[in-house]
Amino acid sequence: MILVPIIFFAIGVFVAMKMGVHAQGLGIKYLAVACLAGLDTVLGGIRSGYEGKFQNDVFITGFITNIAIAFGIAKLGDNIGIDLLVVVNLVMGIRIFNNLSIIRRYLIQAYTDMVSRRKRRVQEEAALKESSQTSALSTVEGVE
Amino acid sequence: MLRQGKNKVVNPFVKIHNEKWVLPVSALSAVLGFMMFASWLTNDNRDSVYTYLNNDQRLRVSLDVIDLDKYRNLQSEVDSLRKRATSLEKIVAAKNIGSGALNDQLQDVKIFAGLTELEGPGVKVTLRDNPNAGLMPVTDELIHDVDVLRVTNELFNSGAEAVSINGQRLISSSNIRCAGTTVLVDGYRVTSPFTILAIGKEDLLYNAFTMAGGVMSELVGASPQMIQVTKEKSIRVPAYLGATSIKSGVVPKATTK
Repeated sequence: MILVPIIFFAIGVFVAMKMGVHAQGLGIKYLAVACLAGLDTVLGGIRSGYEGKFQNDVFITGFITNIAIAFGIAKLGDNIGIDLLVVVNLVMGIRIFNNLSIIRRYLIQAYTDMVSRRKRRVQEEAALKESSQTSALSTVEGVE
Repeated sequence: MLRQGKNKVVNPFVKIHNEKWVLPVSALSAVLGFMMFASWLTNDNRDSVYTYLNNDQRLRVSLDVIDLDKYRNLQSEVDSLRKRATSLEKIVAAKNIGSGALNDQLQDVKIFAGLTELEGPGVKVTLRDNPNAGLMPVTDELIHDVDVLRVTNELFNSGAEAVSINGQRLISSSNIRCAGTTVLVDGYRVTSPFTILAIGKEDLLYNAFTMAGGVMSELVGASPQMIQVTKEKSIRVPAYLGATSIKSGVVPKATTK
């Protein structure tokens, strides 16, 4: 499930590569901040998806406004001479770590669930086989 | 294709559609991938010096981003046009007898101003950052703009007729400034190693330069590898290729004593 966004991410990178887009000059700084905000939102979306709280409109508006706010704060900081870029980076960094740790928990949960389910199925099948054998045995005994 | 049960083919995308978050998140992560690639630093857009500049200089760099290729093309054009002007002046001088003396004077002035290439004996000074410096070099181990400035100053002082730094000719209005890890010569970035060519009497230049108490002895004291000076039989110093127009000043009509 989590592979699909990753594949789409790769597709986005590929498209950009084919188009040969590259930010130049000062724009690259702001675009990097916007990237960080976007990454945070996407991870947040995945997290809420795993939590079952995902809402489409909230997610998409969050993506756009987060990027806009990150960009705006960075630009404001440059204009008033304070490095507010650092603030954005810090907040986004913390949120990304937070989201990633929660996603990791869900993934581990899913994995252990899968393993235990498989184990249980194997056990059930073994039990089924045993019981059928014993029943077959019993029927044979019954015939005797 | 996923197979479920007996010979029953199930569309794998059904599983994706069931989780409603997957498609929007995927779409926006594609956008994110696009953005990340666009902001990825490459050799084209990375300006390694940029990060080392202070705010003031950074602003200046960002405000007028120079189209370097165009600049170089224009410079070579300036070079060829100046050469053509010189040859035309010579032709004019050859045709009109009276203007021959005038042309000689003109050529002398051009040589003095640094608008022509110059060839002759001289010295070659090589300045480089201390190669044995640690990861975080102390200031004594780097060549600074001040070092370059003092070397050229000393060369001019001991009679150099033409000086160039890494192929950048110095003229009367030349300036040498600091720009982060590089040195600006007339706004042109030059980096270590600095090759400074000076035309003049080679013995005089060499002896004056290696005199005790000069900039040479100071830099040798930091590390002998940082400065090297050699006598050269024949060196070529390129012409100055920057702007020469005078915008504010005019020559006064009546010269006052």
